[in-house]
Amino acid sequence: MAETADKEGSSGKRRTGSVVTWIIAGVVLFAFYESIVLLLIGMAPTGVAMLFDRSPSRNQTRTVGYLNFAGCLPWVIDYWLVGGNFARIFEIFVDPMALFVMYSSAALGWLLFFAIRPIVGSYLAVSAEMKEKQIGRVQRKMEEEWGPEIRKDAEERTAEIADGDAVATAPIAPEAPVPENSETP
Amino acid sequence: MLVGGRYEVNPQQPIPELDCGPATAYAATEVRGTARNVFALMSDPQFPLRHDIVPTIRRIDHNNLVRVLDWGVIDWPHDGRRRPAVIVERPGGPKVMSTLADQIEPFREEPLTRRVIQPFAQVLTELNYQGLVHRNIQPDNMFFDGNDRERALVMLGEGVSVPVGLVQNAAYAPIECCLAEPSGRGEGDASHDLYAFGVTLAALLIGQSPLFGLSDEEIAQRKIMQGSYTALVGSHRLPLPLLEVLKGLLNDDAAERWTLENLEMWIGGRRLSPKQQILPAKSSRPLELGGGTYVTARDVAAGLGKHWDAALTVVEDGTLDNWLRRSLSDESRTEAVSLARTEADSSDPEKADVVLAKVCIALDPQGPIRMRNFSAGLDGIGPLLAARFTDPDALEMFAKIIAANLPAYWMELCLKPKPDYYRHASSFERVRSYIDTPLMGHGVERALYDLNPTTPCRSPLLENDFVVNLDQLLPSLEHIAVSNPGILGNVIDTHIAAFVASRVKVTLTSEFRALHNPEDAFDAALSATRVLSVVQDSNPMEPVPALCGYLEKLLETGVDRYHNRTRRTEVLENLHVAATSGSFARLMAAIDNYEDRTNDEYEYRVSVGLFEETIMQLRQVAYEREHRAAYTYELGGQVASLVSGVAATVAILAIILMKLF
Repeated sequence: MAETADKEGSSGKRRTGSVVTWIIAGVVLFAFYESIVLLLIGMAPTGVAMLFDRSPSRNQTRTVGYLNFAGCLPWVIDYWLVGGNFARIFEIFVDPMALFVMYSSAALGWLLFFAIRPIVGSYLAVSAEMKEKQIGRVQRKMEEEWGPEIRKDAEERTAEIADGDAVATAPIAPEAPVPENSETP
Repeated sequence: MLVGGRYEVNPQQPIPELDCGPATAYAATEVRGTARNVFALMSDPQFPLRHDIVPTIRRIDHNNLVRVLDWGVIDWPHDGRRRPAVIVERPGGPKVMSTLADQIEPFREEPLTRRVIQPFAQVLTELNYQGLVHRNIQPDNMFFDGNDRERALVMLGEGVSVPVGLVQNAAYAPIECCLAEPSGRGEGDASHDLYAFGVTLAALLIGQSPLFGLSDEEIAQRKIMQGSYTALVGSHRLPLPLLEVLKGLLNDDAAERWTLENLEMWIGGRRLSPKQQILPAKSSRPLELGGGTYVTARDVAAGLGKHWDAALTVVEDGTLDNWLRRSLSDESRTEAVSLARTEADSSDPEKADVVLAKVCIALDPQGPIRMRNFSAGLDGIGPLLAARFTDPDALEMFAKIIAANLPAYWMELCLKPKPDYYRHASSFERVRSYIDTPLMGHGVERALYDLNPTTPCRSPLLENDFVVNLDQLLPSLEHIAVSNPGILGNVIDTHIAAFVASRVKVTLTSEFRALHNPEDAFDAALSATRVLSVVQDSNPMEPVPALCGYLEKLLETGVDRYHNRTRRTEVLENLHVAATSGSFARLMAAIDNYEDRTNDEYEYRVSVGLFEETIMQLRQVAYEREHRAAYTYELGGQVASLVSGVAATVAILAIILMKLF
């Protein structure tokens, strides 16, 4: 009963929070609707990235989004400092330089996202190899000190533990599913 | 070839005229160069010599007793083995009779009294005072101390080099001893020596050994039927004053036989009239058995013992009962035999032997304990076991006697028990507790050594040596370890185990149990080392590096009990150092250190845990390799977003600064 009441309580709070967020968003949209429009058009590439990004951590969206936002920021500040109406927003968008900077910064984000992954893949391969070698050295040293039976006994114990508690000893796997377009180094 | 570091034996110079039964005489010299004339009696290693009495008997310094000076075990070139040697002071003349077959000029009354009875009574008194019995008194073990047979001192020979009863003619032994096998006649007491002295006097008076040439059985038969005095002296005419002595000493009832006090009183001039010996009741009709006829209860007991299988029928079908009731008319014997039959379960064929043995005891309570061809007095059972240890039949009979507790039964029926009997009875009780235990250090081998403190160890390893004391065991094994280590095996065999168990005061049952373990060679070797360590600690003795070195090789497998390779190397080094020192205690400490083994086991368990962690780490690495794409995607995305975030932050800050200022 208490648990049910707690669950109902937390669900009610979330619902209340969500309502508040939407109210604030409505107020902000009403107060800064020109800036919002500017950002919506300038950060269109981020929206595209969001559409393709299926991972829970949304790293692709964030990579593109951060730089895309930085690319939009000078015109947003200009608009805030100079002021104006929708005509001013229209002027910004007809300026090829503005769109170029905004979309180029987003493109830089895409570039980072695709360029860094192979580097990280190589790093992981090398790191795993080094780790294997180091563990091998430790094992060899222990076998020299305690004889080959230490491996046998340890493997038997590992098997016993695995039989008794398979879940607890399973290697930690990333939760992220491999996307279809991901590259394997 | 030094005995006691003092007497050198010359194996090239035998002195056959001084042989004593199986003990052969050889010339010997005292290395310190004194004028003392000595010779060595090389005992037969098959028989235990009475070395335990040497320290006491050597203290007796009497002109009429050949002095035993020392004993020892020496290498004997004639048979390539070690043999015991008894060093004896050489008399100045020949034996009184070179053999019992000899005929000599009879001693007259006065010289016999002066030269033999008086001094020998002193010798016997001295022996009795020291708690010793001689048990080898007969004319062929008496010497003249000079070549003048008329005037020279007469000396009594030694009684150390051969076991009791082995060489003494049955004529010189009381009836109960004649009925037993020679090796089973037992140590006896002063009354046995006095009887032998009486027969010896008779022999000297008549100039020949009485009843010589007859078998032991015939001698016993005559003594039973006629009484010893009549059987031995017969129709010979002897000096009247000496008849008194002979009748007193030759009384067949040990309780009525003259004592040393009686003898001394007679020497002192007091004339005693020995009690008239009552001959046993004779039956009106003899009992026929195995082709012979028997008329007295004692006689019948001897006959039953001789014709065992026929006797079983006679006892079973009631012939014996009828004879006892109708012919012998001895109520007490009849009742004792009936009781013996009812006490034992005669319906069991396995028990038939026991029934008959009890019937024999009931018929002749003073006689030996008989079981088929095993016949020995209470104190002769152990020596007879030693003499016939290689005979499986004898071992079986001995086991039956012990299992049926016949010694206790014999004591129950004994008419006049002596204090020594109770000591023997407790020994047999102890033997009974372990004789059927199938374990090293127990069984019939243990009985052999417990009942015969002077018997040498019969281990095949020591067959060329003569090991009677614990302090001789390790030097002997050390000698083998040097010369022929291949035969040592696990060092401790059934005989050595029983010998040690019998001689040490500590209990070694767990060690003997481990010695039985064929699956764990190290455990057996460790137990052997522990047993030898107890032996080494029981007596101060020289270190035995060769034997320790041999055991070191057996114990080396024990390093497998340690997991740590460095520790193994250290243990092997310590083991080698301990072996070099020749100490079994150090050998054990090196290989069987409890603290070291506990620490090693603990550290090994910890290390297994650590190794297990490395295995899990390798599995994690393998798993990551298998799922490299997913990891790369996730981690690459994180790094890209991080880099992007940092770059965007820097750019945002720069833009804000530029726009505002």
